[in-house]
Amino acid sequence: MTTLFDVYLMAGRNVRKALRTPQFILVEVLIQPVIFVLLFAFVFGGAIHVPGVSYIDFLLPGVLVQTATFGGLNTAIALTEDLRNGLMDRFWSLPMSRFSVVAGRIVADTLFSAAGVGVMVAVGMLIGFRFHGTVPQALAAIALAIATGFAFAWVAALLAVVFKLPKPCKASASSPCSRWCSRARHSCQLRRCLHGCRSSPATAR
Amino acid sequence: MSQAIRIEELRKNFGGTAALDGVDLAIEEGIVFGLLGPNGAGKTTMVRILATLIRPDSGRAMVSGHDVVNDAPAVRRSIGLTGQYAALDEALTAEENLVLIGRLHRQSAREAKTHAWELLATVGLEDAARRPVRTYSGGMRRRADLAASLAGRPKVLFLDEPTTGLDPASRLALSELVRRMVNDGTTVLLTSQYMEEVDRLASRIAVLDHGRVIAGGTPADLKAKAGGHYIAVKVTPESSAAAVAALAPIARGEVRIEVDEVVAPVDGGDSVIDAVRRLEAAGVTIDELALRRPTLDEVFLRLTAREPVLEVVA
Repeated sequence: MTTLFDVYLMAGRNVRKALRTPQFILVEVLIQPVIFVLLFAFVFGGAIHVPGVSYIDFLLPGVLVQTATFGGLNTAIALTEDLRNGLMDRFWSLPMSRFSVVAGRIVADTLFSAAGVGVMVAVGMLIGFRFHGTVPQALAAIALAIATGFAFAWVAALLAVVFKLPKPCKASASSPCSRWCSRARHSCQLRRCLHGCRSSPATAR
Repeated sequence: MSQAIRIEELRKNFGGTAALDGVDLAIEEGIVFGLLGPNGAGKTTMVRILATLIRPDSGRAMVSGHDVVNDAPAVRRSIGLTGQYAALDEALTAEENLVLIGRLHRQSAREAKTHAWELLATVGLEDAARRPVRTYSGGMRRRADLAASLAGRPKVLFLDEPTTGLDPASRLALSELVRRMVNDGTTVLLTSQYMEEVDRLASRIAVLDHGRVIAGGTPADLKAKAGGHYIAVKVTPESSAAAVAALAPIARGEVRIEVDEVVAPVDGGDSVIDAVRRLEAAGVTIDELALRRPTLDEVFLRLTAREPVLEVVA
């Protein structure tokens, strides 16, 4: 019970922090989901023909899961930042559940990723996406996408704790995103940068 | 008298280097205990073990009667920690930081909030309490950090080099706060590299060097250990050799030349007159003459058997 309460406190802290950084909310919850849907639907979608089903109906579930899963990256980065911070010494010397540092992070990130999924569904419906089943089935589908993100967040958290993830990105002085990194004062920029780094073979280490 | 902290044969190695090499220490309740030592002496390692952040390799440590390894949660309930760097959430306000810590200490929302504002008033941060910590100056951060370490109403408070980065006014405020804490029955373990600071606050001192306690006692005990008075004479460089020769007969030990001073350990105040006569007879012009007690810094250098070193930045 007390563990759950600690998770609630830590999740609250993370949500509060994120709300203080409107860029984060703006990018993670609004801009990125909208861009993903529009990008795949119109830029790439024009070149692909899926027989028997409209392309947006085929596309959206995949993009939903993809975005929710990428949310794990946010978890990994934020957690690494947290664990490197002197703040952890304070937390570890408190009579709190240590698990709640990780779980509180994941709960908060799942909330953001759920909001992002909501935005994507809304944008998708604006451009023609429709659920084929009943309302409960539709809700279950959305819940499944969010749950997938939640599950991957734990994997990402494990990687963050074991490998201290953002290092390769910061260390990659040769990559085009490094300039961005060096200026990155907000974690949200670092996140963007990491998204870039991931796809750049020069920095894949 | 019950003991707030008890340490027996505590050892900790980092990659083959002994950070703590068999430390024994007992600290009674309700005092300020000063832990002195140069960089790398093991002070922070000791505090981190006592604060349950790292485990000792061997030996035992008890805080408030609880073992730091076997009963860490109980230890955590009774301690507060201020490290060398401010451990605060930069994105949150000082108020939010303090309330969060209070709540993690199982205080009710209302209690945590009331207590947070009391502490913020104590450290003089009421006006800034609702601003994110990232907007604070270095001194404000340290004060907020100190308040944070008190948010859990600790019985034992660890202050690891707490005056690093504090301006003189904040230093005084810190001293005042420490005294008040001790009056309320809190035990404070203060680490420092500065004798003066420990001398001002602590009633007991232990000197740590290379992971061992090399001396302990009250500040007066330690000063006594380093010997009595000494005379320091400022003379021109040409006459310093003559001054050394003139003072040698009355000195209790070696007469040394330190920068522009000739320093001679002597028995007591009476030797001043003798010294002046001898210097006059030797034809030495006295620029300045002083009778001094050793400062704790000198005690410290003597105990750690180190020559004062000027660090040269390459």
